[in-house]
Amino acid sequence: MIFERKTKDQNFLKVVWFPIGVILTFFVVASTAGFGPAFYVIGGMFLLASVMPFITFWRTRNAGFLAVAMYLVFIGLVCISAPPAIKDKSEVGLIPLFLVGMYGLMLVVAYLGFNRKLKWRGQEVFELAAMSVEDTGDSFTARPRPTGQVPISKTEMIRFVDFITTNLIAFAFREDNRIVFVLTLPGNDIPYLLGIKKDYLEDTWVAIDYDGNVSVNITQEDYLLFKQDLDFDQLCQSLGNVFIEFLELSKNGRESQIIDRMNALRLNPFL
Amino acid sequence: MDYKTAAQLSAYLSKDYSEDFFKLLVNYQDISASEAASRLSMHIRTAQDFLDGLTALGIVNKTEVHEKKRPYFRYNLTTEKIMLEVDLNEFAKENPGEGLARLVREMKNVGANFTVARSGNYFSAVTIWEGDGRERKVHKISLTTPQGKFLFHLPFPQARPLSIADVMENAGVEPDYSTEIQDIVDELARLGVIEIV
Repeated sequence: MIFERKTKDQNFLKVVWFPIGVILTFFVVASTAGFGPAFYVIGGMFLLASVMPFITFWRTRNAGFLAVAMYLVFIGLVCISAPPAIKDKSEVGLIPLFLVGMYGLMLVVAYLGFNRKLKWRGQEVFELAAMSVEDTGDSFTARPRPTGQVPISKTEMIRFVDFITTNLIAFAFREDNRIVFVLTLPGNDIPYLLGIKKDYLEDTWVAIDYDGNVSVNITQEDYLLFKQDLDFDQLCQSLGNVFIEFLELSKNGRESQIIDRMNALRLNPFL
Repeated sequence: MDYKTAAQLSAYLSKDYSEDFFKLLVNYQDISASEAASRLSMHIRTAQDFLDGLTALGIVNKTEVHEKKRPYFRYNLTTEKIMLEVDLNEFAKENPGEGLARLVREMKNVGANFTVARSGNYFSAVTIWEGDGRERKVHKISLTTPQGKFLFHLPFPQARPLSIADVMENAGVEPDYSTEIQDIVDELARLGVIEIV
């Protein structure tokens, strides 16, 4: 699909800060205390870092993050087991097993990563919403907007929420009378996953109540993601329509088409 | 009786000493401010102001007298009954239906903050900042549920404006609420939050 990108590229540092940090730490510790302590330190870092994908898996039920967590655990175990083996080859212990696990999981994680299964898809949803908006003009306003109605049963809603959450399209807040889907960009998901942020009012969201009323709120920060000042009214309406379309596809059991539509945008799988 | 006169009269009737004052006025043929003040143990200025206020409302008559000294005033009641009747219909908007055809939308770059109600489908308040610098003040207007629903469905700036009646219909607000909707529209238009096209 050929289309004109309407959102700006995300900062590359959001993705590379952790590997760069690990490498820098390794060399700093190695130059001051030797390679043994350096391996222990970065091994500890990987084990600590594995907590976050575990939490993501627990909150979203996205099995890909379980693979990421296990991958980080295996790297950590390899690093921690390495120093005795470097000193004495007979102390290899379980390292070969850890290495097999690490390389196997690395292939799995790479496959999932390149297939966009580990990426919060907020930007892709924004792109889909912006696709039909051609008018421009300074028209931002910081208030939600009703965008339509879609008939939905509670069972269909539960299924839709599970799909949206598992596929990292949005983070769902369950309220008494509605579900609020908060659109998340890569790197902005941590406060929600850790449960630090319990209020979505200052974020971009799409809410669907159990009567099927859809309303949309786009924050100024997210509005600035677009390259142009798109007509705000049309953009909100379009975002609501995207979710209504997703919901209709989900009701008809055609969720794979939702993923296909987003994959067809061919945005960077890691940003 | 118009509302302003009724409000003034009510203010006099609500004074702590008004009942005692009227007892004097009913039972005396006439009385001066100094006599009333000494009788009720109050400052003469307070008594004078009260009697002058009642004079202005036509409840008391004021007569200047000369008794070999400098002239002064004596007061006597002109009526034995005070009827306080206010017709609140005078506040009703004339032809409320006409205003419903006005096209409205949100004003551009207004900077007002709309607070979403708990249920999420309407606003509970609008906060507007007025003035500049140190004079800047926050003006928060709490909304009734119909007003909150109406504003939730108000077209965005630059969107096609809709008539008040259409916005009410979209918001599911009954026509019975049209006067309170127009009241908030007029107020927010005055504050520069709503644009009447």
